[in-house]
Amino acid sequence: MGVPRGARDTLGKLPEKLLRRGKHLLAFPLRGRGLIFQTARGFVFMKTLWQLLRSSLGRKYLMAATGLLLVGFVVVHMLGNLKAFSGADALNHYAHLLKSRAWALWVFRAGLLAIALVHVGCGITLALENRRARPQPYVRLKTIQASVASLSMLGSGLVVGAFVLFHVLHLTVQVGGFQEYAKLKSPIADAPGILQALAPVEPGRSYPDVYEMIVHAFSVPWIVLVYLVGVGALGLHLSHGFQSVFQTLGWRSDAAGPFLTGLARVLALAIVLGMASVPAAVLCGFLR
Amino acid sequence: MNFTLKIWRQKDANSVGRFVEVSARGIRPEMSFLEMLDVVNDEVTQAGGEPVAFDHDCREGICGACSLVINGEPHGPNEKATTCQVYMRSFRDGETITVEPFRARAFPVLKDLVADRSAFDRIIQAGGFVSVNTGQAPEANAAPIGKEVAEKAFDSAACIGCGACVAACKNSSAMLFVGAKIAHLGRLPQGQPERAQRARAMVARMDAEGFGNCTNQYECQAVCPKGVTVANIAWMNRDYLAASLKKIFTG
Ligand code: FES
Repeated sequence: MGVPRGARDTLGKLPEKLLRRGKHLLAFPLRGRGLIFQTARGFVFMKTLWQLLRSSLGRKYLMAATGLLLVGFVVVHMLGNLKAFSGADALNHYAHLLKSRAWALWVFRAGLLAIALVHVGCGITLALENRRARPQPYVRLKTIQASVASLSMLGSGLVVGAFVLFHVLHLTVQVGGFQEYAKLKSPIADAPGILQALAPVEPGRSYPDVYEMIVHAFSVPWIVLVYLVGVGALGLHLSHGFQSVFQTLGWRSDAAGPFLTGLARVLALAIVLGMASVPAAVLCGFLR
Repeated sequence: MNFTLKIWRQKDANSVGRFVEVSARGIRPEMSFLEMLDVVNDEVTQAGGEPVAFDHDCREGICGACSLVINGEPHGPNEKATTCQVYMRSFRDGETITVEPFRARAFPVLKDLVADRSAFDRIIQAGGFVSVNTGQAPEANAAPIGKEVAEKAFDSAACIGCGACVAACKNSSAMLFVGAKIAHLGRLPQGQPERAQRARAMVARMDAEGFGNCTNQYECQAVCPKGVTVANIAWMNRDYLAASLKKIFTG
């Protein structure tokens, strides 16, 4: 170690421990230069990583990490939706920003899809194992304190999955009768600000009119109903899922438990209200 | 007091079981649930029948041998009590009481109400040894352990390995048990040398035994006769992740 003796003494115990660990980590690719050693080392690396990822806990970590990322996406999505309340130009300009760099959009979409697939894949394999773990059911097993949300995670998750599929076909791909949405275009008024700096609009050019699209889409009561059900299932899922993240990643203590439960419920409620507000406002004639 | 018992009877591990109604008459309220079963078995035996098999040993709530799911609750209706410490005064006179064995793929029923919980023993074995010097008893102050740490380790060590956590879990997960065992030694200086290896080995064994996966519903904590909390599961989650990463990056 390149630390002089005197300096090490003054660094105290903790830094010394860190230095030792650091040395360990940094030395890993260099230790034993032989080809055979490196191959063996790589094999242990892959084997242990595989053991971790397929273990019960490993897949729970994946559920938690991907779930957290998806929550982050949902929050950003919701904040974007709320731009509808700032008027057509604000929403359309924001939509223009998201679409202005096609490669970034596709990288983002691919990443999101991969994250969602890992989340769903782990969730389904874990749930199947849980079914298999009790072949002979009880005639009677009381539920003492598990919440409805926690008991219906698989169901609410599947409803959310189906809803997301519908939503993407409806407003992103615009299949079938929804093709007309693609024809809605309008110019965007030049509003100076961060949006203008990131994705400038040309005066006189027409851009996809997302505002008009949602006004069309959410004037149909059954579509609004589908969205409310989907968003409600999402809220139920998150009210258990978000607090679960902390337990699964080992960040929950007994004392913090009630706080985390409350936090998850507040977050879930905020997301439900934020997401439902746009379709509801359109249907009630508040946004037009 | 008189009761009607709906008891699970099963000849052996390979037979199909079913519920049988048995009446328990002349039961005193201060009898424990197991003593009530003793009275019933006396009558069954005298009538020439086969007594109901059930697990028991200390009958004072410390060994973890007794089990039973009584009216849908592992160890019956009382909080923080094992079946041997549940008294008949907790039931209504004339009540019909459903008695089932602990059910999980990893806890196969051997006979009547006896489930084979040796999967827990194999998890403990997988945990391996703890490096402690032999010879004279160590001087008590040689390994200073803060009160807070000692208390928490003791809370984890309170687990008697009865399996009620598995029985109560909707997923038959053993994570409260395994968490308590990993946290118990992992919190103490004596447990440090093999800490990472122990966490990995015990979790791997738990998975291999066919237990389910925790969905953070905490039913286990609610039925645990020793009040072991799910903070132990959080500890295990942290420890296993750290142990795996350590193994991945440093071999
Ligand atoms: S018989 Fe020992 S705990 Fe019940």
